[in-house]
Amino acid sequence: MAALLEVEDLRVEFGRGPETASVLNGVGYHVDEGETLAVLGESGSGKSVTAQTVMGILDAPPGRIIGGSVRFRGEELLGADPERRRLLRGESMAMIFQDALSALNPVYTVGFQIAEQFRFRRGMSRKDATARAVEMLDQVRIPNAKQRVKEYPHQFSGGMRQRAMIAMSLALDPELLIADEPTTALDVTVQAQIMDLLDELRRERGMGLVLITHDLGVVAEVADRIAVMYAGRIVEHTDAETLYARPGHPYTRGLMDSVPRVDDPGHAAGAPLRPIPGLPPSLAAIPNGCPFHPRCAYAQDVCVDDVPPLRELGDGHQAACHFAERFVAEGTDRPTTHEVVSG
Amino acid sequence: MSEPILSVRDLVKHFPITRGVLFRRTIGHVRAVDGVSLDLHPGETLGVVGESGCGKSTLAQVLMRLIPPTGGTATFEGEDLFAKKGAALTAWRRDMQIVLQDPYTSLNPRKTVGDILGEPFDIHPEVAPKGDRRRRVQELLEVVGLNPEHIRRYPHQFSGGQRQRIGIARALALRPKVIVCDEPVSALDVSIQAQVLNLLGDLQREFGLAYLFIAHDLGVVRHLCDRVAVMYLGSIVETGSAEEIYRRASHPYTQALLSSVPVPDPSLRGRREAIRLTGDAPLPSGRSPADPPSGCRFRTRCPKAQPVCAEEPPALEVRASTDHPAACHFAEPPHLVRTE
Amino acid sequence: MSELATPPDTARDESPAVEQTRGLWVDGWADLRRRPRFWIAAALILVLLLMALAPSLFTSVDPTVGELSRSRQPPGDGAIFGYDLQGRDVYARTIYGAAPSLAVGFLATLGTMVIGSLAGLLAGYSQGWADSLLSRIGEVFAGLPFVLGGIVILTSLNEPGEIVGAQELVFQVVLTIVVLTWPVAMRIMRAAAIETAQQDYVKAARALGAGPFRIVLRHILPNTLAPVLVYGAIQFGVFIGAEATLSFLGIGLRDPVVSWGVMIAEAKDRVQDIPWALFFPAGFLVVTVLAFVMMGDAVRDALDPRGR
Repeated sequence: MAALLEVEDLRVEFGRGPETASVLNGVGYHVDEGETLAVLGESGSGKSVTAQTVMGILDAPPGRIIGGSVRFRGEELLGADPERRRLLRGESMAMIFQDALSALNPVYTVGFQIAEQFRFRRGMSRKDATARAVEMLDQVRIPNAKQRVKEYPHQFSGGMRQRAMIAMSLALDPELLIADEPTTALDVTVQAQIMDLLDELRRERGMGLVLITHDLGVVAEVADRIAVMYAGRIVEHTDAETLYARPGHPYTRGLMDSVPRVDDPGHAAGAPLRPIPGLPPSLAAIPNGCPFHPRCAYAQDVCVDDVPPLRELGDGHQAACHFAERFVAEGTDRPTTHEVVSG
Repeated sequence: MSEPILSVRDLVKHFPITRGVLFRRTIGHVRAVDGVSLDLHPGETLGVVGESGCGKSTLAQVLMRLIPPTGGTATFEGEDLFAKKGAALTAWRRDMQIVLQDPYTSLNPRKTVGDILGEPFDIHPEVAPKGDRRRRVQELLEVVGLNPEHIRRYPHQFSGGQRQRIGIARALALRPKVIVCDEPVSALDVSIQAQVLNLLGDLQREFGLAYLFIAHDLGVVRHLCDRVAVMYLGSIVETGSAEEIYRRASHPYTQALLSSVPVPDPSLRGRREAIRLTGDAPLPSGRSPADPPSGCRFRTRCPKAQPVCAEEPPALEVRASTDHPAACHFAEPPHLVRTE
Repeated sequence: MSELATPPDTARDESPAVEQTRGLWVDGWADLRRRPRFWIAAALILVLLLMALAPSLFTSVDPTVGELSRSRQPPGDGAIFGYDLQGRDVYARTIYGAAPSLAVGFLATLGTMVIGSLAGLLAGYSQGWADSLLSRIGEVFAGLPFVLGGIVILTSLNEPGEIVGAQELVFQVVLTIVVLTWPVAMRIMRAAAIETAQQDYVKAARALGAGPFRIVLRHILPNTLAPVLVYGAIQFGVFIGAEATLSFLGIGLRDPVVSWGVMIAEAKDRVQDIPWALFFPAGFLVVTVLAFVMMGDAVRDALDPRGR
């Protein structure tokens, strides 16, 4: 059976002339039903542009899709009829964003905005649609949904707004949900609630979830598989356990060494972090060879000359590094015993 | 322990909530900071953690004398900080500086880096003679790891991390003894954030700085701070050494906060006990603008709340079962669980 | 576009020549000189200024002398812009009309922008009672309809039928326009100043001990100038038009003063009859407005380092 979503060799450019930025340079991933794929990357890595291309909401111009394929249940979406794509959005695939406040229209009640979907896409009456909106708010664990449905977005707290947006995106029962940094704007105690909610909803509905984030902690807690992006490419792709225990790409490793951990005594007491030196490249001037080589401590001549392809290392572990096997064999040197705080 | 360089007692900052256009009426107060006491010692880093709206940034601004306090006292090297005026206030500013959160709005977009870093010397001409300024500015750029030749560039020609380095250089220009860091790395990407954290650590060792480090990221605070104060709705609910807070948190809010932070290790999935708070923090002004929850402010979200919590605000003190101050009637250390 | 926000790291790859610190204005001027738009606008404005200061360089015909026998003659021999109803040379009148029109436009713009900006900066930066007071006063003036306000002010300045000198009349018209329009400039400046005053760099400057003058001059003003500049450039043309409105009502500039406004007001009723009498002064007005809008645009862009 075809995967729920398959993205293959996606290439997107922004702008024209010498300033042309190669934002996506052959991105591919797939998501199955009921599965969480995390797309991990820093700003400029192309993780959001990939999602927007999949959803068909990429601003073009300045964006330009120059190649690749996006298939939903085997159906090619790139170049498909815009009407068909519009139909798929909401019904089959939906997206939530970082900034829930700007994604909700401030002049309509939350309930009206959720009910709108039922009215226009399901042809329900205003009364039935509102009843369904209350149900949706219930499902995203908004207490007192009957009352809250009549309130305006500004009357909701940050976490509640994100819940309302999730309710709105799930109203038409999509099979795939793309969450673009859904908790980045939220406080950590609220982030935990929202991540729990997303995970529960995914399980209940058997929905595929693409979680786009920069947060290595969030990824570790919920992802089944992880795709790490750098400079418009996927540089590593594997299951969560493997990625954290035996990363095959020096960039992945560098990210892990950059994060000060709340639980790790090894990092505390002022021991310096080991950050990745330098800056991500300009997408208008991506270096030759491996795009990461100017920042890589292990770079050799071959890295300057040849672009390393995303290679299979066994057991579905893929990495785009000429020396991936070496890094995998080394593993990470973190201790295996942790003291964990519990209430 | 040495004498504190900065000592704050019962600091209060209320913002009036006003209505009316020509004649403003005060209809209530937002109690942004509500009785905060802390000591900062020379050369140490005190972390202030809390979620948005807990008052940590307001605290920073009051201590920087950017906004006036409503009540309470603060001394800097033994002198009354809030009594300083005119020349004394200007002179004091050399000793205490601030690094702000957003590298995109903290630098004037229409000034060159040379002008931005020259401004401290314009305001305090006694620090560097006019002919020496350029050398000082270039030295600063070098200290924070930027190319000293770039003094004619404008902020937009730098990346976020580089801009934050410029912001740090500006704070460093007058050789302060204390730097207030207000979320200095929260706007940066992970790999860049680590570079800036290391820079802050290096600078502290090199110049003997004391940091008041305000952040919401508990990992960052643990990495950099010697002591930690946890804030909730304008008050400190728990304070202690980094070790005490991270290993033996005894306030239920701190415990929930720590358990909510995702840990980048999938092998721990499902093994850490999750304490989930319900809802968001109420606004510091509460439902009706004038009052936050009675008694303990955390009780509305607290899993341990009892009737006494609604009546009696718990004092920030060491209790029988704990080794550091926490503002909870039922403060107790967590049981340590060892996992493989 | 946030995905593209990472600028290239060109930190170490440049010629080792040490860069000099220069200010916003020096860099802005260097940038302005490279803009063709600036030079086109400057050339146009120069010609217009020349027309205003030395009209005799362009024509030797007296613009006020009319000969009824030439009334309504179309453009052709002797008068390239034709003659108006009273047989006066439209070309000569257009040339001579530049001075009062430009004077009104320039002085009214300058007055509006200076008074409006100062009030706006004060209101936006102080945000206390000064803000409330200035805003309310501004609302009173902005609430007056322009024509009504113009009638009230100008008729109270002059007795009906009183003969007023050209210079005094220009001054009165400018005063009227400034009094009635400064609140708009103030509101623009006030909004920009409030926004800028909340920026972190203002906070950082205050933490360094910068006083209010330094903050307003070094930090707020340079970052709030752009919207006011653009407004001023557009208003320049509007004010020349406002002068025409006042002339049309018989309370602004009037014969024997020659201005584009006066000419347009006179020609308006006979468009079908003598289109050239309207077309040429109106054309000059449009070109003038265009030149100043282009200039305003170029200056605004040059003062924004991000555009370079």
